[in-house]
Amino acid sequence: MAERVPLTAARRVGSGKGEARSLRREGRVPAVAYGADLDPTPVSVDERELYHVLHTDAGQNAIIRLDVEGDEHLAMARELQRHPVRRDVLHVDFVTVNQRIKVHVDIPIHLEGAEDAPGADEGGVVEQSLFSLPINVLPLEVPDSVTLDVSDMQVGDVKRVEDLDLAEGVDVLEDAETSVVSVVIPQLDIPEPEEVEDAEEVEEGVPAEAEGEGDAEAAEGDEE
Amino acid sequence: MLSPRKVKHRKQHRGRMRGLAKGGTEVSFGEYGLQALTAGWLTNRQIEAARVAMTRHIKRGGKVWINIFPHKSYTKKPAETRMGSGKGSPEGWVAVIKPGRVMFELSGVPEDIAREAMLRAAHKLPVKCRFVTREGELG
Repeated sequence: MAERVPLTAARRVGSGKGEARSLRREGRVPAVAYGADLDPTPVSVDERELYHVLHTDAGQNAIIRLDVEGDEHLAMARELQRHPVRRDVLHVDFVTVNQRIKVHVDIPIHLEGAEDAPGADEGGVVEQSLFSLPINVLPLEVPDSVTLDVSDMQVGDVKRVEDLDLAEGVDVLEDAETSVVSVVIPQLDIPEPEEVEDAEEVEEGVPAEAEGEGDAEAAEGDEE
Repeated sequence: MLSPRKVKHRKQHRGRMRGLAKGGTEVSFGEYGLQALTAGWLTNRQIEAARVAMTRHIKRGGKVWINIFPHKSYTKKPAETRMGSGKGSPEGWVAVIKPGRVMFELSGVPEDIAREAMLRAAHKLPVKCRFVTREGELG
């Protein structure tokens, strides 16, 4: 179940990238809080506090007791913008929630017993195709994750969304027939040594680029 | 080897590689990924070499995704040619990679095998790389 994690936010005075960058230099993360009972308010939160809020068992679905300078709201973190290389949070949206109105969340799907699956011993690969499940649920009843037991799966078996064990009151937004995990025999994609030589000969004879060029020339010719 | 089937113009400007990757910075399909940390041009041969190194290491099992494609052609003048007389002839195809881009993804293998496979792939590439996981997205 999602726990209520406290987080203190301070209102931002300025706007724009200059202010946002200076906040980040001071170890704060620019954010915006909004919702049905709150007009969009630019705020900033402490980077370390935010890290701990996002690293509870509930992950990104943690229910936050957001304190905006004495004004407390129940909120969830949404639209996390991250630096592509450093992976630190650059900006976050806090959406206020009502305890009695269902919210849309994505919960992670974890597999259990993938090593014990008989299909894996027969040379199959347990392939997970759906990693998170979109659901509608009351904010205080958001499950941390959903676990799927795959220890009985044979080669060719598929487990679907309908096989997931979810609590009552959870509305699944994904199609019940959508595949979550399957055990498949991998297609061998390893060229044998002889084949490699063949492939090289082919490359030397007719370069792949030459084909592309020919087409390209033809295309350009058409254009002219 | 990857190359466009048909292009509108055979020769392109080289362009610049400023800034960071705009998209494709997260592991989207598999469980593990290989992320670029510097910018560079990856030729179709390098992409293929990395793929082969990876698939050979994981042997049976696992699934590989290649998230990049060499859309850009590069040209070269013949050896011992005087400067001028127009642009050289197309030589090959490259993918322009910027820092943060997840280039390859892998699933269906234990993490230690995936890590080693990605390391072998990284040795074939002209950019600095790091191993990333879907679980490690938070941080």
